[in-house]
Amino acid sequence: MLVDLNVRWPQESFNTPVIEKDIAELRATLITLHNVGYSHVVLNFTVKQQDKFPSDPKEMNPMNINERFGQLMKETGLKIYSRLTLIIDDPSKGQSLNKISQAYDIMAALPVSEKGLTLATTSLDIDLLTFDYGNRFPTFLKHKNICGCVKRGVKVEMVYGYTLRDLSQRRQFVQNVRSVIRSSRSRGLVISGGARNSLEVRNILGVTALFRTLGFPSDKCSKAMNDTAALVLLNGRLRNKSYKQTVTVGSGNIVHDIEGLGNDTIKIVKRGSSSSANIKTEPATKKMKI
Amino acid sequence: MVRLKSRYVLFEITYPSQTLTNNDCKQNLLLLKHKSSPKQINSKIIMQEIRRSLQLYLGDYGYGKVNSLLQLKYFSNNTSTGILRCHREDIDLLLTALFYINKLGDNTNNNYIGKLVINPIKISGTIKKMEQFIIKRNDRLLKNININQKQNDTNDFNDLNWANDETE
Repeated sequence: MLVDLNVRWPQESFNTPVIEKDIAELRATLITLHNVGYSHVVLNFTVKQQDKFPSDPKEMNPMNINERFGQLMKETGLKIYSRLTLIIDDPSKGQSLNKISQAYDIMAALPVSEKGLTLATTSLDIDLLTFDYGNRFPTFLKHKNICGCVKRGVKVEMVYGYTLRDLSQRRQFVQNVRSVIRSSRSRGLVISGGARNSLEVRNILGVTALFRTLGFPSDKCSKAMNDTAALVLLNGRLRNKSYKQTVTVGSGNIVHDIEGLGNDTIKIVKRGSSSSANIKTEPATKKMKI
Repeated sequence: MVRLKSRYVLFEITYPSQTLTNNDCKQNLLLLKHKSSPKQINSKIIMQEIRRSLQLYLGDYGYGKVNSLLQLKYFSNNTSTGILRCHREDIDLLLTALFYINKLGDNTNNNYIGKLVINPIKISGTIKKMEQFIIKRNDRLLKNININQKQNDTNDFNDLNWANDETE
């Protein structure tokens, strides 16, 4: 099972509508990802933190994955999830994440200032910490910050899409990845694509080779795209679909069987004389040490 | 005296489509993945591009290091797959150079082909095992295509001639 946690959703903010041409491009990207062996893909919608979230629950998630990509998912067997990334600049302008996080599978933060980084690593309720690898980091990353964040269960993402764009971004990418690897002591890191079109998709052999040359330990390379990434996905989905990430409804091995989660068809019936066997509770081990 | 140890890389040139409508997804997805290469592509152009990529992204050091034992053992336009040989220690550098390639040839010679990705598929220590792997892979591919063909007879399979081409 190969997970890509970052495929760009072609929309800049909640107000701009989606163009059909962009969707066609996205579809080509998804097919390419499927062809190089990915089985779980997450669409990433990046917004500024200051932008007002829509109040209507139906507008909170503009992706409509089942409607747009249902056919594709059926043909290929690809699983598609949604993710919201908040660009955090000034923590004082923040809005409550409680409501909006219900509409997405994964919540991520992208700090662009020192205060934002402190907020994202300490108190914000997110699953993934990511950075703008194409530009200079707002501050020198400290081991205490990043490792504290990883200990809390939040993984740190490295995006290789930036290295395929232009010269300055490529240079900055190398510098930034090195600093993330150093400050996290290569713990709790996730590698994802950040593909904007189908030409920015690479397969696992190429990506691991790139990260090995950048100094990421080779045993953790494939783990960063398989197990750890799947853990982020599981973590995010358990936030919405379980009671305090410990008890959820379903059957089978929830930790490894990501598909099993989120079927809203399970009907909870009050325990009576006849239909009592339908309900099972499964403890989900959230904190697996990686 | 220890013998010279090398690694062989099986790679495939893919031409991912830029846009797809909902209807395109109904067609055979295997055909979107495997396309044969145009005639302009030959082993000389591929080696030129790999060397250029090495020089550009890894500098003089990377170029010199990898180039000491770099060889294109095989390339077929029909399957767009090929085998590269390099020194065991330089495999990461070579794969990184392949990672960055997005075109072949150049404008001055009128053999420019853009919008492609080179995917490494398998790394092996001996060329014999590599050939066995390729034969197995092609068998599997043919089987998949046959299954799809039965399901969907309306598709056009003219492009599939390459699939009969066995590896050397």
